[in-house]
Amino acid sequence: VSLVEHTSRKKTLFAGKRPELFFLLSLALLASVAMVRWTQQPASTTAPAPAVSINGLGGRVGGRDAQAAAAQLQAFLKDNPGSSGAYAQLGTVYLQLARESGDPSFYSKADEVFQQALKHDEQSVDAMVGLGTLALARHQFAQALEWGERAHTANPYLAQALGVKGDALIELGRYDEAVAVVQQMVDTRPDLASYSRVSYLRELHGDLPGAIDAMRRAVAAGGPATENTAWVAVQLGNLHFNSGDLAGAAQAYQQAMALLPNYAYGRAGLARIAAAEGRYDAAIAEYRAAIDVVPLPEFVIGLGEVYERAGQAQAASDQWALVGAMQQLNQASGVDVDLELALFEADRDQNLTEALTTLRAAYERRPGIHAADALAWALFKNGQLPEARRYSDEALRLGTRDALMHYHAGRIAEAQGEAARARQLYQQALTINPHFSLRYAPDAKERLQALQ
Amino acid sequence: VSPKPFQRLLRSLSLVLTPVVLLTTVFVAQAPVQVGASSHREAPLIAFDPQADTTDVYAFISPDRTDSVTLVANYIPLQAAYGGPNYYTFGDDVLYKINVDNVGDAKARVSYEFRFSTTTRNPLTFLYNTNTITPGTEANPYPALNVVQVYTVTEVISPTSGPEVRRVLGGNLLTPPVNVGGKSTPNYDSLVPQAIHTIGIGANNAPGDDGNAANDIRVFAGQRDDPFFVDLSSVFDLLSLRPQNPPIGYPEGPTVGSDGLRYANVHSLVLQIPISRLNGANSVIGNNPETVIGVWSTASRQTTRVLNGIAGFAPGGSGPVSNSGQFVQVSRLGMPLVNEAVIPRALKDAFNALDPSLDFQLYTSAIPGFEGAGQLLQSSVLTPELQTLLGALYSVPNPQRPRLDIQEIFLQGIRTDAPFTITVGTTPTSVPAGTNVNQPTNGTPSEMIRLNTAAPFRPGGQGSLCKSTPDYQLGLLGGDVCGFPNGRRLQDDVTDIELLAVAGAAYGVVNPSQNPSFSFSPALIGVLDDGVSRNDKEFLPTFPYLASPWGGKEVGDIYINRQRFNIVLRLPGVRAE
Repeated sequence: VSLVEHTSRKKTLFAGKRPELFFLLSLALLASVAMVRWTQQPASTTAPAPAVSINGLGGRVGGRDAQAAAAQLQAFLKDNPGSSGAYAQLGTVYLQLARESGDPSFYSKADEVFQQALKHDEQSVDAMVGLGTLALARHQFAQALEWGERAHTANPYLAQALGVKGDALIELGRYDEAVAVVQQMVDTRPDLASYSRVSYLRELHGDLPGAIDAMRRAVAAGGPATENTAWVAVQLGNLHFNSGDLAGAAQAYQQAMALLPNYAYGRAGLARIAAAEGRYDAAIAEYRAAIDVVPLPEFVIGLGEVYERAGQAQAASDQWALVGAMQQLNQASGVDVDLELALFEADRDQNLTEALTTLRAAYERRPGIHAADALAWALFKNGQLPEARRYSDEALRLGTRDALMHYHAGRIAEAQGEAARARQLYQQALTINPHFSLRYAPDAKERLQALQ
Repeated sequence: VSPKPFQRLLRSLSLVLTPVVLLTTVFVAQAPVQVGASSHREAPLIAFDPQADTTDVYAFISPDRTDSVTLVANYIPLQAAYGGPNYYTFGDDVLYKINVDNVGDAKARVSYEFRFSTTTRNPLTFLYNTNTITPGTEANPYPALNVVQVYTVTEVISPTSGPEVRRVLGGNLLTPPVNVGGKSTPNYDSLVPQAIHTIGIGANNAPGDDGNAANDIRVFAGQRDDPFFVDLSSVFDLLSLRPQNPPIGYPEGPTVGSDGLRYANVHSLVLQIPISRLNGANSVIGNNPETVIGVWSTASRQTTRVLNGIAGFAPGGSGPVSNSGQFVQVSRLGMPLVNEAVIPRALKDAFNALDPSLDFQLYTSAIPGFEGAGQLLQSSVLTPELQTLLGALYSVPNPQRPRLDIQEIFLQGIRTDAPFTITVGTTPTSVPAGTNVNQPTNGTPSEMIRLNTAAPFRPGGQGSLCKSTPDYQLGLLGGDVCGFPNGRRLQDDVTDIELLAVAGAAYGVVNPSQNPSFSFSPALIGVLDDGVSRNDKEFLPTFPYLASPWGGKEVGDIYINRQRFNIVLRLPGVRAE
């Protein structure tokens, strides 16, 4: 479906009150995207080598090496067009490149070569794991589970197959099964991949110290200067942040930055800390630097919230407009709408009916606690309180120590007239992490006082 | 133009142009810009774990102390010397082991466990060192070093009967700094002696020091130059051999070989143990008549309960965060290039986790549920892909399958089945069929390096069967019964020796019954040769034998104005998929 067709159906955007504003915004977006592309060129050539481990002699490929590996494999395939293994390895290299560059075009390339690998060897476990990883990235969790199961059947001793299965089960909300599968994974092979999944399951089940401990092990088990290690270091920072430990978080984000200078996720983490500490100028600078590297909507939303908090309303609304345009782009390029973006709309009371429809559909596909929480919030915004309460209860069912979820639940309880429950939930949110949101943490405090 | 018509024009233009601009943006964005935030955890699946990656094992009679054996296990491969600011260290969470089977039943009867502990002297800086690193004193070693790593060595004795005995041989043992470069470590070799530890042993292997240097154990753990040498780029490029004419070499004609591991450092565990400790009447497992030792290295990490049962959160009650799970072996190495070139990709995780005592059960499909893996492994050994490749690419004549000689060399140790000529001292001498090189009596087949420690296999002394000038190029195949695959010396050119073995060089001596008419063509010697026949640095004549690591500046100087060397991945075409 072409963008024009698509957008012509989206009357709300262009037939709104000020289409020329959107035109100018779209121009601005084009300029910023082009700018990012342009500035990324030198950055990508100086990035230190992150790693994907290619089979054999501890061979290590990453960054420029990954690109070289891709070229080498492509050349090899020219002469050996029937090599299933080479196709599968190439797909794996593409997946790592997608991780590192944020460039989704590597996904379709990976898809293509994994299919080729399967065509030449229908038992290619690497291709099955690759297609499972790809399905996860595309938020096709049911398919991901199928690929994970196929790979596990084909090779029961391969830890990666269990990883794909576990990830899919988590997103599908089948937590008990996920725990069993990840247990099997870490018993098979304790390493960065399995430790980080152990950590996530502990986090989901409300065991933050245990989650931090496992993520520390994941960081320690990573190679130096690799994207994978930097990624788990940022997760470690997020765990500290989400438990209100800003100093611990800062240390972990710094560690990620030491591994990969200019790592966008590390920068965004530092930005969050600066914002939480009221250092808005520093937060703005860090967010901008992160967006320069990878313009993710979550960073833009974060930046907007800092502007808002710093009293720069115009700059904030520029960011909101950018997020809106990004969302249009997202839909146009076929990417499944993210929970964050739907939550963003619900937060700002925009397109509430649509956001609700989107989130209902998302929940159908991935009935986990995060989808339940987002759906609960959208239902609350749409005034559908009993149903909101049902999903909010569901979101809290694992005992996850997530401050925002508790805040959402508090708002729903308050709206339902349950003052005591609301008070307790606001208190819990602030206890878990007094800095959980620039937007809602102060609100939680006010509401808590009002309810005392 | 009045504002209103202009605004109207702009509006209608915008309605048309906005989608066009957005579409353009999509195209512009298509390459490096991800607009889709991911709202689920995309945790990595590929875990590159160099600290727990064991790459090579060596086992040889110490040339300067022939009543002892030196065992080397290498980890953390392909270290660039310029590794800052996060220089390589051993993993504090990793259990490193050098395992010895000194009775032949494929079980680790004597193991040496290494556990490391890192201290950052000044946690406020990310710097590895704050000034030029000097030896310092015993109380304050390497004063300018900020990241200090020490370790404990534990000897674990598992006799064939009786309880396991664990004995800490040494604790708080110092590792040397890595070779940072000309300003930080200008006299690198002066920093090493402090990291060579001699551990005295009391009478009857008891704790203490009986004052008898012959009973001492020596140990070193730290960065060294990677002693392995091989033309990775050509060997794994469809077994091309640069020094040869095409088709074995490249179309552009012969060149010298290119050592894929030159300028690369590793972290080494080096252990020197009196042979009497492992074999003979007074070994640590009691009277042990076996003279062959099997050696392999492992690395393990701890598993953990996913849900610890924190009070109030998880089912199962209460309890502190606990990571006291079992150590799970994640990496294993015995004979060179087996893990890389023989073990099928599909079996990597399984093989790396496998205890050698299960090798043969797996191999013979005796483990329920693993029959498929067993068949795959057996076919990988008995019908080696390399052999097919040699035949298909270069018309190297093939001995008949199944290759029981390969099985014997790699899984059993060699006992000759035909007369064989070795060079004793400098004299060619024929040894009869039935001569045992390195096969344990009643041994259980398993994948490890096997070294015969009996007196005739020690260089120098009276009655030695060793070639007086060691044949590192051909080892046992060249008549040097004290060379690879009887043990592995640092200098042994294992790549060429293994290539020749796969081409059937030992076929006539080891299990020739399959095809008595096969004869190996000596013309292949020097042809099946990757052209890299020695290490990029001279080895040391004394402990720890491995050469000092390359320094950051040293290699930086070499690479100035040169392209970074190409770390070559193994191309999958080398094996059938």
